[in-house]
Amino acid sequence: MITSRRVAHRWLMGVLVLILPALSMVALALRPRIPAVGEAAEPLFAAQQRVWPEHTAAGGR
Amino acid sequence: MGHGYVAVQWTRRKFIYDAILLAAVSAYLVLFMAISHGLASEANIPLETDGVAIRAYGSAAYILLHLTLSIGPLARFHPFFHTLLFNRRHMGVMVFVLGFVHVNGWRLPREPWSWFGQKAPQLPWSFHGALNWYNDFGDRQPLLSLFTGNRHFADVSLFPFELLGVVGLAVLFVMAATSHDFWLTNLTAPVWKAIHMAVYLGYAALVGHVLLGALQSNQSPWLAALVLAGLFWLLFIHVISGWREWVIDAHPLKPDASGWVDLGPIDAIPDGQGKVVALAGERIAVFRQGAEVYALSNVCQHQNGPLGEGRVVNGCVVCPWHGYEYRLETGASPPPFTECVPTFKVELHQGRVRIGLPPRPAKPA
Repeated sequence: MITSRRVAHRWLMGVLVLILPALSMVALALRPRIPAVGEAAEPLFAAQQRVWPEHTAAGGR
Repeated sequence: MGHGYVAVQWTRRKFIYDAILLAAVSAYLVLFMAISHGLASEANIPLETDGVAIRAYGSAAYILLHLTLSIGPLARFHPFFHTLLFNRRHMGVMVFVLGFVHVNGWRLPREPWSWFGQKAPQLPWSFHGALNWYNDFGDRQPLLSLFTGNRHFADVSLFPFELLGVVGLAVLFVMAATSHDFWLTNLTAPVWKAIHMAVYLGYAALVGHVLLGALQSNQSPWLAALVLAGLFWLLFIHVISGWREWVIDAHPLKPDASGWVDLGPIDAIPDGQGKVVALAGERIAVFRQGAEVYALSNVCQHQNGPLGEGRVVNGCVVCPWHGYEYRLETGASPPPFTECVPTFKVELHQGRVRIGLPPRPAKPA
């Protein structure tokens, strides 16, 4: 039981080591450019959170 | 359920540990909210108090989760981290509490400073959690809205990252709810450890939650760099510590025809320390005390901790995970404790150490 748990742990970590960095890079590379709310503002303060296609079609929210 | 509940045995060390933990988390939350409001007011941006509190609690949980997951591998590199390892589960429970407040908010009838006639500062005493905030305080039932409101599964920037947060929080809940030794005893250490391995799946879900949520709207390169640094740090130390384990398992020792296993010269075992070897699919901890050598199972009976990485105190090896003790000669815990681990015959033959198989069964003192 202990040995099988150790093996399962290795497989799990192996999969995470491969998948998580790859997914992180994709998520960051594909994120939309959202301008900061003001010129003096930090990029932390985005102008809007998200743009929803269904809401935009209906005239925004 | 063959075991009764035993109340948590509070010690001075546990109180100090928890006091430091609470103070550090509280300081982080207050600083996060104060700095956020300071930056926003400097840039003349109106800032929602609810949103800042949600981010403060969420980021606190995320950072603390990284610290909690770092302790295990770091304890394999340096004994200093054993102190943190002893009460690591307290940090895990705190991660769940912070995550729950992040989702559910925090509501108290009165702000404490109002009793003294003071106006409330911008630090939120009560705030709406993410569940209500992202529901836009609409008419729909918040949970229904959470699970059905967003179906943009194919779009990175619109992905319903909240659902990944639900998965992460569910895993953290299971960890926190079963953190007491009552569950450890009833489920047995191997099953309990197997369940708690799910924390890595929870962590993966929370990485996705942050990357597809906060990092899609917040454009700060520093924030992205911090999240990536945390991820790579955790993966790196787990891989290095796993590699060291793999090296031990990849070179298992084999007994000769008479059932003895040669461990090499006695000088190869550092005096006063342990050495872990793999034998017949299991690990054995070998300790040298001057001219005496002892061998016992490497697996602690509490949570399967690695005894070979523990210190020897008064003839007992102390498990580095939670301090369980076993006598080197017999493998039995000193009275009144009843835990015991199997031991092995050891002989010195022409300056070389040999272990005899099969193991002697564990016998309580």
